[in-house]
Amino acid sequence: MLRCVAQSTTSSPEKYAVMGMDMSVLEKQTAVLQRLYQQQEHSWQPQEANINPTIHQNMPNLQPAKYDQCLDEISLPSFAISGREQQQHIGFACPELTSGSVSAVSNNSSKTKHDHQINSGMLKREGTVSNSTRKRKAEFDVEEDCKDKGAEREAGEVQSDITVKTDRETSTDTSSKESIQKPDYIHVRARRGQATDSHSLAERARREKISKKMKYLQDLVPGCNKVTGKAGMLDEIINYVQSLQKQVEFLSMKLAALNPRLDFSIDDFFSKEIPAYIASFPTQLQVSNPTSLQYNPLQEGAISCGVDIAMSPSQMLPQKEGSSSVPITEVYHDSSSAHQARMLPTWDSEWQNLFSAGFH
Amino acid sequence: MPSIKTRFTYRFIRAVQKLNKNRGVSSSMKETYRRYHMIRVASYASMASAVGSKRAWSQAVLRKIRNHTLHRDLKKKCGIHALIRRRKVSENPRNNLNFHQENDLRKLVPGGEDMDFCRLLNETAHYIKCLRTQGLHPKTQLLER
Repeated sequence: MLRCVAQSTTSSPEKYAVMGMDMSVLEKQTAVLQRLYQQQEHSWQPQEANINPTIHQNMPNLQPAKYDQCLDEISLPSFAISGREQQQHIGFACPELTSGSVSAVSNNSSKTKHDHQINSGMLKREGTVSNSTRKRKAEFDVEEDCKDKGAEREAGEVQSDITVKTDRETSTDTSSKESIQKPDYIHVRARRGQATDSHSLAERARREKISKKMKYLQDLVPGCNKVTGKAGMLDEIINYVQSLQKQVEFLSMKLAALNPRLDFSIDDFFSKEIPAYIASFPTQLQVSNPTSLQYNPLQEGAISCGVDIAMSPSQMLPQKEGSSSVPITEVYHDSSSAHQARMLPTWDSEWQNLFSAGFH
Repeated sequence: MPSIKTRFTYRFIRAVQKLNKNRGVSSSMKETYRRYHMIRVASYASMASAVGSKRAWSQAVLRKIRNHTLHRDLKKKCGIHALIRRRKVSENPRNNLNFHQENDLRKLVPGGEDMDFCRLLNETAHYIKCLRTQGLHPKTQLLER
């Protein structure tokens, strides 16, 4: 079957476009599903054993990653799986689809790229499958999957092309413009799924925004790069926020326990900001700060990034030389009051409320 | 223009100074616990006021503190604005199969209950940045001494 598929490699996507118009996507999906199940029964391919678990693995993986509510798109994973991973399956499916072009296009699509992908391993396979699955929908959440899966690079340009095209074109010409290497089912899906009502467009835009933000959060939260998937990342973010909050509590507890014995002056802490004010005030500054910040042994991985950030301003401190600290305090108060006069009164009143009410 | 870090540090240290001045030197457990609580609130309030009202989470923090001190019985959740916002949030398309985590995140980030998910992510990012500053920079310096 694969051999006969391999022969016809030159059919154009238009043929497939025609076929797509003949059959409704739903019929096609059910046909493919049936074929999948049939293929699982038959063991006519040596890679069958690999395919079965991947199908079952991928489907649950794909399901939670779906953000659409269109029911008809939920059946896509199977189609995607068959199209992406198992070129043999598509090849097998050819006769039933009544057109050799299907096999041709799908074979083209699954030629070199997917060969590599199939051989590369589970994760990559899942990545491409999920990537391709998302390609099919009208909402192309390319960034989400690209961010999640490491296999994005290979499918990236493919996806970006598709995303660009399907974003702009609602007609059936999309398929003809795409390169042959793209899987055929994308053509089908794009065409039909371009239910480009404003709702789905807005949905897509919203999802892209969300994925962008998740990406940004991924950079913020250390250790988030290893986790893939929105759920895992959200878990990481939640853990990180909780650990930061706990750290604040811990440090407050420490401060509360130690501080009655400590005496400090406010000027010691603001030497690093003095350059901002020193332009207008000619006084020189002295820094009596500790040049080495010894952080609490809270060097969890979660806060290491924060430590680095906090370290850098403190390293600027030793560079200042100066005079007594009294003018500095005055200087700072003057400047700060000028800058923050609007905010300070409110804050002070809050504090008075806090103290008087005996906040608990 | 002083950075958020500076503003926060300034306010926080002033608050702690005031706390040190007002409270006695008794180190009973209860007193220590009270101080801990006040310092923690001072930390959050300093950060929130350093950020200002630009951010929803800082607004929520300040609002909570003010309401708590002024009107202990006032439940902001029942306000009409909160109700409208929450209804809007609940009408968001339930795309997320991560509803559980989303909810947890909403509880963590102040003011997160009333936002849609997109805004929640925004606020979370800013909140994380500020939490880092809050947790590390001035406190460790204070503890240094």
